[in-house]
Amino acid sequence: MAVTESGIEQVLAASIPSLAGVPEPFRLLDADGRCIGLEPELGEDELRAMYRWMVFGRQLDERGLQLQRQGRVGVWGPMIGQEAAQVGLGQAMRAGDWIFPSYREAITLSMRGLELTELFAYYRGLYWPADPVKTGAFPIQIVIGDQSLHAVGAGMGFALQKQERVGIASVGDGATSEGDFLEALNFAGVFNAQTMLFVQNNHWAISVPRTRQTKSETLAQKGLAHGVTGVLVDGNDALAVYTVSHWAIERARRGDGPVLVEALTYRIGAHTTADDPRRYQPSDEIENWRRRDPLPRFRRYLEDRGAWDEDAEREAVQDSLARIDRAIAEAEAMPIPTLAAYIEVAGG
Amino acid sequence: MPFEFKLPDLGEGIHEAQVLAWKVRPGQEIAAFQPLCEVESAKAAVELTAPVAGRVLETRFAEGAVAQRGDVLVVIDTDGDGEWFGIVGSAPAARPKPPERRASTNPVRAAPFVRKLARERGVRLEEIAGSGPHGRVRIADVEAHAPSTAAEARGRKADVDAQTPRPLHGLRKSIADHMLQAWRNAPQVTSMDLFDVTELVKARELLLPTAAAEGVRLTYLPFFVKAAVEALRAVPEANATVDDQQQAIVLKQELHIGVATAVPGGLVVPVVRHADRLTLLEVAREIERLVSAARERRSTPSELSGSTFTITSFGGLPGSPLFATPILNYPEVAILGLGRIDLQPRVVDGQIVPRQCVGVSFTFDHRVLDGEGAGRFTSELKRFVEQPLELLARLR
Amino acid sequence: MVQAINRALEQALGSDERVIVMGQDVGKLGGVFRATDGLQARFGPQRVFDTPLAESAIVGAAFGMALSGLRPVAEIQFMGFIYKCADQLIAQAGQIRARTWGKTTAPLVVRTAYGGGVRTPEHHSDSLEGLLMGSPGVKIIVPSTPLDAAGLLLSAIEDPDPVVLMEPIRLYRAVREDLPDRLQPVPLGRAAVRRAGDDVTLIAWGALVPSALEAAEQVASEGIDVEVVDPRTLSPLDWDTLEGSMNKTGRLVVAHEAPRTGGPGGELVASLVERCFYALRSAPQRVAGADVVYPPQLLEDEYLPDVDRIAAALRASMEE
Repeated sequence: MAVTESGIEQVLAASIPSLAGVPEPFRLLDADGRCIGLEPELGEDELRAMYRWMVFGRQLDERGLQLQRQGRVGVWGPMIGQEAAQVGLGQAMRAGDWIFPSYREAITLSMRGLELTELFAYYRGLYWPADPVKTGAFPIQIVIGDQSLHAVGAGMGFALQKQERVGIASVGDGATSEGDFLEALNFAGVFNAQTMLFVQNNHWAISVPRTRQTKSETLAQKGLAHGVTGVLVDGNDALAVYTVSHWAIERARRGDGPVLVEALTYRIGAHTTADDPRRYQPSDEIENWRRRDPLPRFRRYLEDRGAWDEDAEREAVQDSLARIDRAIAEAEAMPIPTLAAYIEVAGG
Repeated sequence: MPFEFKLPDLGEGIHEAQVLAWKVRPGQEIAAFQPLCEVESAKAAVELTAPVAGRVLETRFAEGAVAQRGDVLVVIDTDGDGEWFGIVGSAPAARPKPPERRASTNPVRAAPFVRKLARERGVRLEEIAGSGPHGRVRIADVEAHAPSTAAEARGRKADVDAQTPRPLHGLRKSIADHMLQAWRNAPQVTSMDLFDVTELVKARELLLPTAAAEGVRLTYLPFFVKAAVEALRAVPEANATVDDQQQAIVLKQELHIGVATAVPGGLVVPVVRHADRLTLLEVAREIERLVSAARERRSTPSELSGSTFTITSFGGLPGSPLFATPILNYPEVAILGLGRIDLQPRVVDGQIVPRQCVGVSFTFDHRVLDGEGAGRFTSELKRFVEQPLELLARLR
Repeated sequence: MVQAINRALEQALGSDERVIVMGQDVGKLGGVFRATDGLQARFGPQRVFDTPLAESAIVGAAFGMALSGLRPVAEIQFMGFIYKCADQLIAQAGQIRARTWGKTTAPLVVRTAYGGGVRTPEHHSDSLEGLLMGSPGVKIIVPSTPLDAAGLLLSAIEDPDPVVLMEPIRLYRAVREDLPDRLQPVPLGRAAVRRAGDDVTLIAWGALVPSALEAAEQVASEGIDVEVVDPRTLSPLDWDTLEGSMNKTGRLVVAHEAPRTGGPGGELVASLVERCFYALRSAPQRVAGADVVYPPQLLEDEYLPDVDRIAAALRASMEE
């Protein structure tokens, strides 16, 4: 019995792999900060700490921008709008876990032991004065996506040396098109690496929108092609990001396999201070996402529990600014090594 | 101290911006990070904030004016020393003009080493006629023009020698290895004697015309070769090699006589094969052939191996010693060394008379031969050397 | 030579549990040239393993593993494919030391087969040492004897920085040497004078060392005494030995398979001219591949520097 042109698809269907359905972003807080799911096992102190980090991140971002406008750092990559994604991830990491960031994870890095002074030193143009192996915070990555492989390698190394540690890479949506990212997923799957790949999908790779980055419906499903579990999460819900990240990291730690986490968030600011987003980013879209600002959302969740108030907010802002300004002053007071000194240590 | 806030690089190479609006006035007290003004660059409108706290002394650039990167926008009176930690400085200082390139006035072609040499000799290259291609000046040209003094040359050579150890390689190395091996393995003893070669000298004289007619150069060496052959027949233990592995003496049937020959760079030992089967003149001719090939480094490997006994002649060398202690041509067990031939005082019939004599040094491997055997060999040898006619008695 | 490499890996795996061997086909198959033969059976699939076909991942993951405390020896099957992992090798692993002011280094080794004269398909014979020599942060070693292959590899494994071991395919089975029971490391950055001479310095590495020696013997009978220097490490170069030789002879010939323009010979000639200018007796010569994409198999022999071309250069260098 011959199969007609139109009938071939039906016949082929069984041989074409496909998703069961488009995944829903995992969410624990609704738009107004009300908890609509299982609350994670976090005490009040930890929850307040998370929010303080978000406030810190917001203040840091403001300062960073201004420092660049004052000519005191060379460039700054705004993080505004992405605080929940960073904090949820940072909160889920344990001592001994390593993070291989891109360049929009200043909050996570600070949570994991990078001194703010050292971060400012980087932005002033002194490379990475911190010790990555000691801190577990690896240097900012400029070559997009490369860090995925490093996290996989570290995860493979931890597994081989029977250490219960996890290598985590944080990348943007743009990075998921890079060969290195896809190769990393593949390796992670084959070697069951103790690795978590965290995608901060802020919907823009400079001026290229997420829809042009890939035809995939989600980035999380890219794991499927490589046999790696992927999870989609509301990146502006700090609680959800924490829950998913914690689950993923512990899975990897146990040796149950690597996980790809896609956190849906949005880049409210420009790509960097050298960018003019007015040329490509629709203002109504920005406004839409501003209304979904992760800070008020989490603040309301805390206030509902009686864990936060106006005084706490003021204190958090002031503490952050004091800390930030102190770090700036320290960074600017750091002696600048000579080229000869650089050549000596860089020469090997 | 007044602090000058200069327009920074607003992002990846932006070099100018237009002042849109001022947010402060002169005389106003301001805090750090307080907005100062709004400017517009090619990329965007941005708000600039104060890097320091203090009192605004003056604002430059009216609203609407364009400032360049590095221009002072506002001066602020601060408590500090006016220094600031900005990493974006003002416009780069004017680059100094590169020095004028002097046109090359030296068309003389010479390699750097040659130029250095000329300088050292105090010679101007232009004065030397170059013998190289396109008139290139060579080392030899400089040398010819201004030879170094012997002392300079010695000094240079000494320097070079002192500084550069010359590794053993090639022929020198194989001689070194060979001598060392003989020295290490065989306990060698040399017995020495003067042979009276008055008769031998006469015999050779008489044979020179015959040899010349056959185009053969007849030295004393062929006579010694034939004499040695007879002595080896009488004392076969001297025609042997030692096999250290097997710890055995290998007596040789054939009589292949090695003739040690000086060549450029060292010593080689071409071999007269089956010397017992050759006539005197054939031995002479063969020696001539082998020696000239050796001197021109043309010898084949088979010509340089297989000897069962070796003769080395040092009488003709500078200093012409009478006696020496030649080293065995390992693994042979005996070697005959011939010193100079000249008049020596001898006792004949109770009288001291001048006689033509040759110094003979016979080195043997004492593992194989003792004084008795060595003595028998040298007596046999002596008989045929001092009385060449005895060779006739052995002729077949 | 290939067996010497195998022995060195075996020794390293046996004496240092941080050492791992990874790459395409290195595990079960033992390597397409059998360089890793038997290692997986002996040390297990955790320490000697096959990877998916992804050069960038091989080096990038090896980098991550090196950071975590291991000493990976990764294989990039042929040097022509090194472009695919150049970013991870040069921009990532090669730069971590400088970026962290010396606090973190990447102790990994990348073994790769290179060189022509063995009738390989396209991209399998490329000599890309020039690319790497110009990239600070990556060391390069290239042996010409089995002992050196083993010794250099052992040193590379101990080295705190990324080292690329270029294995000349043509010499894999062509050169043999007796190896001692316990292999000794050969220090990086030290050249070997393969033949001492007074008249001209001939620098060659890898598969061209035997050709260089043969050319030297050929011209010896013409009275030209050649000093053959094998750098063994191309980055960092042993300037003491190279300068010493150049100052002695005053004449220079460099032979390499890579194309001439922008090739490694340029660096050697320029640096030695700078350092030994007043000893120069003649124009330095380079014997190199033509400035063209590596030719098809049938034209390979004509393209590669051979004994005759090297000998001709030696003669030319003697002209005053």
